[in-house]
Amino acid sequence: MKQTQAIEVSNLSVAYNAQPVLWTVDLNVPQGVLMAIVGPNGAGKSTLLKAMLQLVPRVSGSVRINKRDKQHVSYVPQRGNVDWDFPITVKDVVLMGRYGHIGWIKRPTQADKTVALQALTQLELTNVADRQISELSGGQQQRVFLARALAQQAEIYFLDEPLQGVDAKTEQIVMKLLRKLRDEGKTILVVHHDVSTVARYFDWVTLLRKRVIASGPVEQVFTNEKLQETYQGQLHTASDAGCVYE
Amino acid sequence: MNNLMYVLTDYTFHIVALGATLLGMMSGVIGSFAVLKKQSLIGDAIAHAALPGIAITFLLTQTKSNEFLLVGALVTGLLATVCMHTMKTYSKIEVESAMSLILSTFFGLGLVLLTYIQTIPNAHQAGLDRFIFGQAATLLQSDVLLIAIMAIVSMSVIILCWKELKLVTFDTIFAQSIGISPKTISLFLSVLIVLVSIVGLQTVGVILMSALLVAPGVAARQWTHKLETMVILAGIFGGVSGGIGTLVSSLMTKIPTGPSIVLSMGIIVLISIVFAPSRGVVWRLHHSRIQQRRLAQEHILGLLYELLCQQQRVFNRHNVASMLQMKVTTQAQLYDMLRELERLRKQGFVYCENDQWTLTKRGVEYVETLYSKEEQYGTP
Repeated sequence: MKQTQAIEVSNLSVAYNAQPVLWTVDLNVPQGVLMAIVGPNGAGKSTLLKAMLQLVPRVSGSVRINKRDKQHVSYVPQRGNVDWDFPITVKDVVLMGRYGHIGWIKRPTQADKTVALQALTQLELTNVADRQISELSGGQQQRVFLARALAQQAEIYFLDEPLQGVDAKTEQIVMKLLRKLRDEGKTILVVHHDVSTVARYFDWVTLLRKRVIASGPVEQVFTNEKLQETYQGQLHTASDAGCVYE
Repeated sequence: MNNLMYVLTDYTFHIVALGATLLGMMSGVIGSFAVLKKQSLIGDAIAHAALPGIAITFLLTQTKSNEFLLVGALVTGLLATVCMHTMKTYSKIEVESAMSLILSTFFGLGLVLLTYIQTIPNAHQAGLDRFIFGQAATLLQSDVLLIAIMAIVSMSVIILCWKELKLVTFDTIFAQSIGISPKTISLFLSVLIVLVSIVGLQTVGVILMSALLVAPGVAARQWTHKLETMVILAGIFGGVSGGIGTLVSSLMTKIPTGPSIVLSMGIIVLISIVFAPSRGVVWRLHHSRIQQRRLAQEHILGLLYELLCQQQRVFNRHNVASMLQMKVTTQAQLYDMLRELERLRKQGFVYCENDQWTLTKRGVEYVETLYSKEEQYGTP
C-alpha cells in the first residue's frame, strides 16, 4: 500500500561556515507516522528540522512538504530560546498557537480560546493556566510549548527533543498525546535523545549522522548493525539501544 | 500655596505639561517593547543619531525653524535605524555593540558639526544646543498638537498590531514559523521609536530621551506579570512623570524641565524596584525571613514529635539542644533555638512545664498534617 508522502527531502545539504552539518540527505516521510530522528551529538538532527522549515539556509537540495498552507506545520524547538521572565501566562502562550489562524489585526475569538483550553487540558496544565511561565517546573514548561503546538491544529509536527530533561509524568503525557495525534493521521517528527526508548515509543525511525544512515519502520531499520554505523562506538553496548530486531 | 495655584492656572504651564504628559505616556508604551526585547539601547542610539541631522539641516537651510530641523533629525534617525538593522542582519556584530557604535559615531559627527557651526559668523549655535538637553519651556501649542497626533497614531497602531508585537517580542522563532516576520515587526517598532524620539527631542533632548523610553517599562514590570498591564502601567508612569516633572520645574526656578521629568521617572523606578510586591527588594527580604523562620520551627516540631513517639521529654534548657540533637555550638544559636521554641509556645504548639518542653495536642496535629502533605505532594 503506497502511503502519501507527507515530506520529501531530496539531496539536502546544509553547512555552517563551510563545515557540512547535513550532507546529501534523502528522506521520505509518509503521512501518519510517529518518527524518531536519532544520532550522536552533532549529527545534524536539529538542523534537519530547521532546514525542512527553511529556518536555516541550505547549500543544496530541496524540501517538499505536502501542505495546504503555512498553518499545516507546527514546530516546537528545544526549550532554551525563550525569556522565562517575560510577563506572560501559560494561557497566553498557548493562545499564541492560534495566531497563525487568526491573521493580522483580528482578535482571538471564543472558538480560538476553546481550542487553547482543550490543548491545556490535554497536556494537564489547567491548574497552572494563570501562572507566569517562570513559575513552572521544567516538565511543565515543555508541556506549555507542546500545548501551543497542539492549539495550532497542524497536520505535521516537528518536535526537537521534547523529552529532554522532563519528569516521568510529563514523558507519559507527551507520548500519549503524540500517539493520539498519530492515530488521527497526523505526521510527527521527533528529534529524540534517548536511543533506549525508540522501539517503545515510535513506529518509524531515521538514523542520522550528517547523512541518513537508515530510515524506515522501526522493525526493519533499527538494527544493531545500523546503530553501530550511526553511533560508531559512542554507544557502549547494543543493549543500550534496547533493540530487539536483527 | 499661592505659587502652586499661580502655576496651575498658567497657560504656558498647561501647554508644556500636556505635551510632556503625552510624550511620557507615548514613550513609556513604545519603550516597553524595547525593554522586553532587551534592546533598551536602541532608543538611546536613535535619539543621539538625531543630532547630526539637525546640524546638517541648519547648515543647508540656515534656518532654526523647528519643522525643518526635526525633519533633518527624522532623516538621520531613520538612517541610524536602517544601519542597525543592516548590521544585525548581515554582520556578526552583537546587537548591543552595533547600537553603541551607531550612537557614538552619529553623535560624534553631530558634535563636530555643531562646533563647526559655532565658528560661522552670525550663527547662534546656542540655539541648536537646546536639542541636546531639551528646552520644554519653549513648547508651543503647535508642538503639543504634533505630539498629540503622534500619540494617537502610535497608540492606535500598537493596539491594532498588539498580537504581532506580543508574539515577536516573546518568541521570534515561533513567529517566523507561523509566517509573521520578526524582522518586519522589529523594523516597525524601531520606526515608532524614531518618531517618538523626534517628537521628544524638544522636551527632554537627545541625551535624556532614552530614559523616557526605558524607565517606565522597567518600573511597570515590577508590578505585574501580564504584558497588557505592564504596558498600560508604563504609559501611566511615563505620563505622570511628565506632568510632575513639569510641575516641579515650574515651581522651582532653577530646575530645567527635561531633567526634572527624568528625575521623577527615576524616583518611580526606584520605588518600584524596592517596594513592589513579589519582585521588590523589601518584599523578597521579608518573605525570605519568614520562610527561614517557618523552616526552623517545623524542624523543631518534627524533632519534638519523634521524641514524643519515643516517650521522651526534653529537659531543662541546658539539655534542650542535645536532646533535640541539633547542632548548637554557640550561645547565639542556642538563644535562636530557644526563641523559636518560645514562639511555638505562644502559638500553642508546644508547652513548657518544669523546664520540660513537649508538644501540645495542637502541635501533634500540626506535625501529622505536615507529614501527610509531604506524602501526597512529595518533599520539594
